[in-house]
Amino acid sequence: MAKSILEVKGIKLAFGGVQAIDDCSFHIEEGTITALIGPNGAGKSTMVNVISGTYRPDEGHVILDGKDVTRMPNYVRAQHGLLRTFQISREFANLTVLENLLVVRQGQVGESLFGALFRAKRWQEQTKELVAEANDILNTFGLYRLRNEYAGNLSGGQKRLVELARAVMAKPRLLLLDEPMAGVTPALIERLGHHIVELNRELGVTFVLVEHNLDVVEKICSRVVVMALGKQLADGTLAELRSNQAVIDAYLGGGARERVGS
Amino acid sequence: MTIFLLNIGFGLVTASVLSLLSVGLSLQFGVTNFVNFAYGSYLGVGMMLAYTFSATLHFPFWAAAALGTIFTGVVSMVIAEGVLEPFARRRKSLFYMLIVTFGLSLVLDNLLQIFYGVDFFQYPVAQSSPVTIGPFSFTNAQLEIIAIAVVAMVGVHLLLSRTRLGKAMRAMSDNMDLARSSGIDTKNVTRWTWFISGCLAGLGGIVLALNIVSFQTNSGETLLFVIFAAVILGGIGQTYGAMLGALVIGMVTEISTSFISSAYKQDIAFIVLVLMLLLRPQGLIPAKGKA
Amino acid sequence: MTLILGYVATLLVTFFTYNIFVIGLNIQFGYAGILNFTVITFMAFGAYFYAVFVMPHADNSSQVFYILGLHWPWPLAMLAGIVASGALGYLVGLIALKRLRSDYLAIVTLATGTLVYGLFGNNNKLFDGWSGLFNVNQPFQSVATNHPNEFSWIFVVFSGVVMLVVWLFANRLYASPLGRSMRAIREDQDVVDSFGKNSFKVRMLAMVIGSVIVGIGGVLTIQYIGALSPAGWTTGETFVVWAALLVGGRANNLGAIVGSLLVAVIFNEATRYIPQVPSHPNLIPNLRNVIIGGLVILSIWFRPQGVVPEKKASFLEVPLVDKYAQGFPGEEPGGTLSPAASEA
Repeated sequence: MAKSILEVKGIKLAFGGVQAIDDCSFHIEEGTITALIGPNGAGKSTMVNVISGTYRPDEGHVILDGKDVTRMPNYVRAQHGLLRTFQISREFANLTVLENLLVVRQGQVGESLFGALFRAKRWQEQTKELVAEANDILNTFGLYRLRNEYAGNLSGGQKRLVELARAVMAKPRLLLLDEPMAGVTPALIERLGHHIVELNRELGVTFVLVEHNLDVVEKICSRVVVMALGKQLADGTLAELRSNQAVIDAYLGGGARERVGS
Repeated sequence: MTIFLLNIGFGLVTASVLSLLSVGLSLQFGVTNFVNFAYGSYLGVGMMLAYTFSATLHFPFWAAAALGTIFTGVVSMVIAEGVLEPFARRRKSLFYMLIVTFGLSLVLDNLLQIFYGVDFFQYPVAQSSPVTIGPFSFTNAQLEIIAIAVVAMVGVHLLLSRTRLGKAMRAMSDNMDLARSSGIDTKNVTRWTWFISGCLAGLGGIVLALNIVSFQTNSGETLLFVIFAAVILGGIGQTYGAMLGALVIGMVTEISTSFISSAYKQDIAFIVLVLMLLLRPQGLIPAKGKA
Repeated sequence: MTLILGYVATLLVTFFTYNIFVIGLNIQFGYAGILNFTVITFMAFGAYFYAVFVMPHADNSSQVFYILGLHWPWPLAMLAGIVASGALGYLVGLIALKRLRSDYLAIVTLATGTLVYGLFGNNNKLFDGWSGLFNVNQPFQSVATNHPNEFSWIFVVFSGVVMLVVWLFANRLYASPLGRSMRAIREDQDVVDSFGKNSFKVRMLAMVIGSVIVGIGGVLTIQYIGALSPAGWTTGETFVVWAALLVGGRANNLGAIVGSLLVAVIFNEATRYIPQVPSHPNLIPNLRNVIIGGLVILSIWFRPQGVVPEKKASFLEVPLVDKYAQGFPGEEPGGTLSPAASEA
């Protein structure tokens, strides 16, 4: 069995009396693409926020690479290679697309006040290298000719691609994608899926996707974790889950079988 | 000990003044979701209008106060409709909304000074000698202030719990999208909220002026952050929290004068504000469903 | 002639110091999105602390009271004033920059301003209360002895050089990766955090740097005038700085210069000599404030980017072959996705 890069153990989190996550545990193996699915209100997005460190759970542990990171703020987790995107695109609107990428790379010389003032030569060189790197990434994502546009001026689909490109620029080891395909045209869904598989294969990035579109899940995810009512309900391949009565029930109603099976 | 008890009495008066003001700010914040930095200037509008009606136009004081209150509500509504809502419709970011209200405060404060000058004013009401009630001692005006505040708070409670407008305001405060999709005329409710918020500010300004007896156009200006302190203490946008916040801030600031110079009583409010922001920014009564 | 030369010198010094204030606020608001509603308090901090470090011990027999009175050489005292202003920025930042909404920060700055104003004014023993400090030691006195304007013009050069240094510093900061992080935080703080940067630290840096710069302007102000009382730093003054920044253009230091020139120098000076109305001594300053407040509001409505908008970043780059020169993937050729900037 491959080494698990991420483990969540017994997470509990309540908001004002609503138990959003109720004793949920699962683990993610390194180098995989895992989907996190479940009906609305299952606690998927909340779980992403717990893993990335936006929310602190009431109980339970988040373990990254065998290290307990539950008490670490989100930026420290990100420094360990745990990155995320957001459900709604959150680009830096008044920065250009290229700058959106440049800003996220960690460990730049000119990020400290001293470096910014007194090591200008060094960070100017570094920025030049980063620009080349970022342009490469943008070209892969078909955003090259938009590199000098303000990110806020892009279309919804383009912004989704910028989000992914930006995450790639930050060199993630584990990337949490919170509904990356929401509000995206079918053709673009195809592209995004293609990029995710490529990044996984070529750079070895581990992915966790919160996703509603089961076609996408079937195509690109090797494993699926199902959440319902704040709990982990089942996990396995999508084929295995199709015959899982609990999963079918969780999706409720008569059309459920078709939806899971489609 | 007697001074301490006396100060509790004064605390009650200050809390009454603050309760009007903090509830007004809190209602408006809950519905529109940005802080109105011009709110402090509305106090001045209320107190000066009441002065004009009573001293210059010789209305009976209660009528002057009522007119001052209502006119301040109208001013608040007009400013919201004429300036703030157009900015909000253009989807100006929170930054800009705050700067605009801050700019409005400068305009209003100075307009008031242009009209009224920098003199000290006094309402044409008879100054009574203090009445002793148990360990406390109040002037008639102070007793009236407490009564006005109690009536106003009951009124706000009835508004929020019994009327359609109040329920709509609460719904918008809890969840704007949900309120809109459930058919609430959010524009209309927002308009009324600005009116009510302005009325409370105006009334608050008038009772503040009654309490300090001799006042200038800008006597309410520095109170702004004390009001904020009460609002944040109660949980921003929480109406009943704001009442509680006003009570706590009013009591604490007045009682503190038993131990330190009264010149520093506002500093106590600042300390409470800072402690709340550092330790419990969501307030004593956090809003429901907010993560 | 002497009079005119002296006047021109004062104008230039005013221009330079306001420039410094506006650049300080620009780093806070324009770069990092920090709403500082009491810029002028930081000015006063710098000025007052410079004064009490440079002045000799207070002569209590003449009913003037102030703390310290260390009689330090002026460059050291200048440093002390700047440090004091930066320290105040740090304190305010500690309270308000912790992942709170920008309203809260604005409230804290406003409250700090009210508090400091009351504290300095009501307390005679700190900085001589409402009467303020005067006869504050000015620099270059030993050199400028021949002519009344000599000091003024030496000071024009001095403040000009200081402004130039501040300006170069601010521009380098803007272009640097640190400046880019600040601007990203202005757009979305949480996202910056989620990419492994401690946005609190970066915002604090912007807050303190801005306060230090405003403090420098404050020291220059009192060095030139030799006196300062609370009447000289009211809310209206903070607005002049805000108006200059917004009219000139946020996040662009050229905008700071244009704004200071238009608002702080031309507008302020043009209205200074309007004769007073005897029955209404405050009329002119009141009207000025109304106009300044209105200017802030109107500039946000009509031209939020200012006269000189923020410059789009451009980089030296090796051109690539665009893999998708035909158009954006997943869209029909010639479809909706031509660069949208044309509509902005």
